[in-house]
Amino acid sequence: MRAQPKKMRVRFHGPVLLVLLACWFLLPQTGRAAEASSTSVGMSKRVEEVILPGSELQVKQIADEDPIILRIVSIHPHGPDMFRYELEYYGLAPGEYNLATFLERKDRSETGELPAIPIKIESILPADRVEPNSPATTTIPRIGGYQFWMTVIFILWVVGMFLIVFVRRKTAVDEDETQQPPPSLSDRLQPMVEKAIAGELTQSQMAELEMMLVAFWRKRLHLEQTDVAEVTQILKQHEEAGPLLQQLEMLLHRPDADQRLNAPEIAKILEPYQHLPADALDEELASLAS
Amino acid sequence: MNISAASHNEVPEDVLKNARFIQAVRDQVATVVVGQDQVVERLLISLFTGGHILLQGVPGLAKTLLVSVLSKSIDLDFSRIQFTIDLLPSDILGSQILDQKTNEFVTRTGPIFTNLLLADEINRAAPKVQGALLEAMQERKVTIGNETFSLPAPFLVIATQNPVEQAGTFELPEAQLDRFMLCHRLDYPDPDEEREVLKRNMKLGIRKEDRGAVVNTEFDVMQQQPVGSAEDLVNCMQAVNDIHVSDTFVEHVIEVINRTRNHPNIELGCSPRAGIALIKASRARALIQGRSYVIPEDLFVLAEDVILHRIRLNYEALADGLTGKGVLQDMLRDLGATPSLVGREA
Repeated sequence: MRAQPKKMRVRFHGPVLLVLLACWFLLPQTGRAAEASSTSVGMSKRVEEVILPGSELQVKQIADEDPIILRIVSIHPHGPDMFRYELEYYGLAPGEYNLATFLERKDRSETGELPAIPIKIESILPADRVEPNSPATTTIPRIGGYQFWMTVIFILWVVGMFLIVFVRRKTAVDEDETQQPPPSLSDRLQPMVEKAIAGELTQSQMAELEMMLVAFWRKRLHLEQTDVAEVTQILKQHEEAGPLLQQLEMLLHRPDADQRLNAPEIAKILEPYQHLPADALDEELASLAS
Repeated sequence: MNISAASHNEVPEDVLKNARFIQAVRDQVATVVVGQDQVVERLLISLFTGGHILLQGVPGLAKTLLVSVLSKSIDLDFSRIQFTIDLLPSDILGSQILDQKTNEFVTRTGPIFTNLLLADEINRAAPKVQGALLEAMQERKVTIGNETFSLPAPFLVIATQNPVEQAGTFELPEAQLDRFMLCHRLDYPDPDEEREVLKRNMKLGIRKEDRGAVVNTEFDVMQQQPVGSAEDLVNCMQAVNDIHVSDTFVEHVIEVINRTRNHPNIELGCSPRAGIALIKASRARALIQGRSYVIPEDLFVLAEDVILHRIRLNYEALADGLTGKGVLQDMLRDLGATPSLVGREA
């Protein structure tokens, strides 16, 4: 007795279970697709195994005001006249949306009745805060602000430039004053001649004076570029330079020459050069140039 | 001027004798070699001072002929060695050979045992040979085996160097160049001299020899009769030694030598040997010019021959395209024009 009702219970419940199972398998098309997927604003999320009837679908052209950005990740055929989609989306504004409304047929045919693909975009901001705080309007303080510091830097730069230019110029002038150019040949010749006449020159100074006189005449006769060996011979034949150099040679280089004894003779020879103007050679060159 | 030249007009006999000898040698050389008065003067300076001379010049400027005629004019022994790459020191100095009769080593002296030695193209020989020659030049002695031989007096090396053809040559180092008292650069003859050379050459003719004939050369027409003797040479050497050198002239020499050492374009300046050479050469030139004392002109004329081969320009100067001659000329022009270096150092 007890076993019979058990069989009857199986007989009674079997078709119900089959119907329920069939309903379960049918759920992905409707019930499972109808499950709302949710995410927060700006965060992407995927919806997989979405089976939609009809020809292949694609995402509609995105408009500026669309609150949802949708992308089809993959499409696979799913039986006759159906496709299985993998979708990815993210929302720009909180709310509940149907992703199916953002799809269209590739073949431009009517979409028809598509099962809803509900999603929910949630906002993580507090309910009373819908927009970011706008910065408070403040005024830049006059002292210590950008304008002030730029002005200060500009003034300092100008002053610095003036100082650099002025100090450098002053230093250059000071250096010029301290480092005087070496005295010219004319400048050096006259005091040497005076010393020679006074008999105060040493042997090496006397030698230098002799060479100075050769250099003086070489400059005066514009023989600067002539071979030095030829210059001495040319100078000896010159009516003014010749006697001077020859007499000087005899006084300085002759075996019986004594510089101290010959001091009067040296003075006589060098007399024309005693009052030589300091710029004698320069005048000579200037007159030549003009 | 009060300076009387009367005393100088009374020229002593020995001075006149020297002057005649010098002129005779110059005339004798002039009969064979056209022009080249400067070279003859430099050779006489070398001969009178015992300083060796290096002649730089392209081939064909009668260098060998010049030395040959000079040696014959003074009746001196003359040898010529053509320097080549395979020359050995023993080819110059001599060697010991075994006498098979006595079974003893006998010394055979080389061509260096002469009065005038023409070392032709000295830079062609290896440094070992150059070194052997230069050692003999410096010490005037030669060691062969265990024996040391003195070279004859006078002994003068006249070396030549071809500055153009440098392939297969060994450059003479500064230390060896310094051994040469003078280094003279020969120039080409001017057109008049060239004309005379060609005319003389056309007149040389031929001479019969054996069964044929040989074209005469300048060597064949050279007069073999000497115009002076070794005694005349010794007198001149003595006279050079007596030439007065003033303190002022010594100061000039010191100034010039110092300037080579302090010149911004010169890396290697002159050694003290250069100063000695400058004074020696100036004295000899004074004698040749008939003076009993040296003057600055001697210094200016000889500076290039004495100094130029003893200085070496630095890299900056060479990069600027400067030449040793140009730098030396500028330096000599600066004498007197710029303050003395000797004075500054003091």
